[in-house]
Amino acid sequence: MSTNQEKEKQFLEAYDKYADAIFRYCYYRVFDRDKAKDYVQEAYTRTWKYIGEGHEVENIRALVYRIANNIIIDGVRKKKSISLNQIMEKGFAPKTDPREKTENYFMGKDIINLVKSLDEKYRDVILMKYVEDLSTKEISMALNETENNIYVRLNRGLEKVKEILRKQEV
Amino acid sequence: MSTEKFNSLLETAKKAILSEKEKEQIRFSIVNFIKDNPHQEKILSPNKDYHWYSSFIRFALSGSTLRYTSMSLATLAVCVFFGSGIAFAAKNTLPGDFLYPVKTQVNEKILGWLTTSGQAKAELYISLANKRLEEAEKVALQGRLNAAARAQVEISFSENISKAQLNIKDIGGQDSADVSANLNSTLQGTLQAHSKILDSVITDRKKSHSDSSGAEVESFKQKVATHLDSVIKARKESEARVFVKSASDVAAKVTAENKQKEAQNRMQAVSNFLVAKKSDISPEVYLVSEADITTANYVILQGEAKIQTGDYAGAFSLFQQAMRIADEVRINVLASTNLNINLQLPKIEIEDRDTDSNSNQSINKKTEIQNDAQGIIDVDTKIKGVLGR
Repeated sequence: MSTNQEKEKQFLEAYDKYADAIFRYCYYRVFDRDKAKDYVQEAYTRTWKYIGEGHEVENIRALVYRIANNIIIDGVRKKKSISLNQIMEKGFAPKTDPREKTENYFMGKDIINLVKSLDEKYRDVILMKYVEDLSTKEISMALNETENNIYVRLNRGLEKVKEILRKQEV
Repeated sequence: MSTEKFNSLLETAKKAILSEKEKEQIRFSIVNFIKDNPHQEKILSPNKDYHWYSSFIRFALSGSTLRYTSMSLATLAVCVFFGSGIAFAAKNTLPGDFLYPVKTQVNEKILGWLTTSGQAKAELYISLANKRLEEAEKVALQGRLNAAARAQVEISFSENISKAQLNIKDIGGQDSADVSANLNSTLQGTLQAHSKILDSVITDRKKSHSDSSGAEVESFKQKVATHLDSVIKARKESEARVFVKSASDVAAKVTAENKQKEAQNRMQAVSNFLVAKKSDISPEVYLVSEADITTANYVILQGEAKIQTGDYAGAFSLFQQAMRIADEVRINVLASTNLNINLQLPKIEIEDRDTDSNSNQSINKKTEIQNDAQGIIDVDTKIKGVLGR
């Protein structure tokens, strides 16, 4: 196999491995399934272009997250904010098992409430750390921040999460 | 409590995933993007002493659709001899330009040397043939396709087609018949699309200009038509070979179903492409392209029906046809974006599988399929009208 074919194979393996995670990350930022799918595709095509320009890639997973994050930021800037009801009307990331539908609906509302209540700087790190299981180093590469900043944001973000959940329980 | 709640929320949040179909559709679009945007390989070792050589190669050989592998020292010597400046200057030349022969006879020849496998070579020469057609169209629109320029582009074009066909024939390996059929189909779709674009260019020149360049374009178009006939023949032969090699009915069915999947993914990718390019093309081209996609989807349905009846060869051929339509749509949209004219493209017609396309039976069958497809397009148009799209 030529080097180019190998590169393509590895790149597509990275797609197969991380597409769901990138989709989730995008979805919990824009709460629009179709848009999240478009962002996934765009993130991977831009990553391919970026690699093609000769840049060294230490961690492709972190790179795709970084590019996805940039795409989302550009998209969010153009769009007005969407209400919780509008999100729920679109349908929260559907699950096929009908028995879980009701549970998912209320869980979905809580997740969305939680995510929307967090500041952007905490939301990104919380999603990446606790939903996608990225390491702190990977998060720092994805968000182009120092690891120390990521630690601080994670701690403060978790405090915020606890505060929000406590308020929900009251 | 809040920790438990948080963990529950995390568990539910992780369930948001793409469906298998969605994942595959996106993957197919990415694969197509990779094919359209291949990377240039690092030719030499990272030794910085060779940096200027590799820079030269990058200038000389960069192109949106071309690939190459490692380079020998002998080839490097050729590139050094010609000098990086000339090769770079030749990169974007068109037929009739002074350095155009450097592009076609030096730069692109080197690419051929650098590509190793038969399949990669075939893909390279198909890509180069496509490039010749784009160049001819561009130059024709500028009124610069005189006899000399036409001869230049025609010679290179014919050479690329011959080399593509030769390499397609030489493809070995387990899936060689399928790969050959696919490549022949791609080549056919390319020639068909550009044949119609050339018609549009000829019409445009006749309307707005009184120069004689129309005659040169007609002549070039005839050459394209001649090659198209031979490519259609080769495609039919290679499709027939796919099923001769099939060991059993089960294997034949799997082959047909794989092609069906490929066709469906190709349709999704081209639909996404059309939507993405909507603001760059005229409403007429957009509507015709939409109608063509509907036709292709109908052809896929016909193929699915053939699988049900056990006609796997027939199904395979129909799925290939749908993929050719998708390729034509893509080429039309790109031409509409790149050429500064109002492209008047006819709707793509469903091809007749039978060799004897003049027989009454095959004409009636073709008309029946066309009428069915038109019916679907009419309903589709009405629905869109109601929805205000």
